[in-house]
Amino acid sequence: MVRIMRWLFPGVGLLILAVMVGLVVLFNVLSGLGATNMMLTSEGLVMDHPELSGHDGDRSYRVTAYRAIQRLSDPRVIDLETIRADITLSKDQSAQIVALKGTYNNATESLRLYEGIQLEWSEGYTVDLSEVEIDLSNGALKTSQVVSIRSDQGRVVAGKLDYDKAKGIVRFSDGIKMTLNPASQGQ
Amino acid sequence: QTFSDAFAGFGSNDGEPIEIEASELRVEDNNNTATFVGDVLVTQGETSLKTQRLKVFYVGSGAEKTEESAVQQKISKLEAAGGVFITSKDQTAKGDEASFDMNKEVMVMTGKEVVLSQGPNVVVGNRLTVNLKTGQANLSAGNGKVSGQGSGRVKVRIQPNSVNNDQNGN
Repeated sequence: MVRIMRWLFPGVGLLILAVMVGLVVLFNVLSGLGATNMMLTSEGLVMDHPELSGHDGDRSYRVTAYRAIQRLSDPRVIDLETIRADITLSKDQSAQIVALKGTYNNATESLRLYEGIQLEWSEGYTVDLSEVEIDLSNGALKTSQVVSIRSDQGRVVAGKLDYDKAKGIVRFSDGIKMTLNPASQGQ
Repeated sequence: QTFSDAFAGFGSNDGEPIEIEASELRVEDNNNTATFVGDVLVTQGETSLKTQRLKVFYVGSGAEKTEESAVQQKISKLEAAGGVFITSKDQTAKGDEASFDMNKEVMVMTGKEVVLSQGPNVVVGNRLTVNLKTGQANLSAGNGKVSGQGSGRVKVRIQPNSVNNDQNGN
């Protein structure tokens, strides 16, 4: 019995040490996140007003949130609340997304937003959708819920949308309805 | 003049909005085209077009990108394929393919049999050209060899005393 305990204590000690080291690493990884203050709760590591950003070439993204909860089960996954994402797609094209809920996955550099989303696209379009998956590294968007895109030129409503930035193809499927307003400016 | 205003509905600067429904739409920014696929229905005012595939070319395809942003791009051409059925008031036109040149405002519909009808009157040929601005339509049957049947002449069937009804006053 004693022999087991002798193993147990060092083992437990090691475990606590590992967790402590893990937390230290976690904290300075998170400091890169620029979170103002952090609390450890049962849900995970809660950060107030965190800010995440990344860029490559002229594409960049900046995601801010009211609150972010980093899952202890998988620190690469962060659940966000009341999110604002500013994505610069290219020199003259950018998109701004606001949403109530979201999940940022550091491994796949993807951001899934759901619940009350509105996306303003610099091309003069507003996109309303209930859920969207954004690949932050190349700006590809995908949604399998109804999406509507409005601009003063007209409106498109579709069952599904996926936007492949690399090939420059936007695909609306599952039924689409488009309304083109009469050309207001005469020829 | 029976078709005088029928097809003017598709003129690019008409005052009414255009509604387009389909099962899928692919917008390809690189070559400035948008393709509607699957039971495509285009309606504008009293004119409607049904087809299976409608490809929309907007300005700048191939040419350099104009300064104004994508929003102000103008439609330069439409191509409908997979059967085309256009109706406007009591006039209809049916063919295999149709292309609309929005700059010249001309529509050309072709097919093994292009059938143009106005009320009970039917005209059959294999190539219909319509000036979308004036609505002036001209149907030809090309040489018989092409359509493979008939003598390449337009077939017309006019219902007696149907033409001189009060067609918008003329």
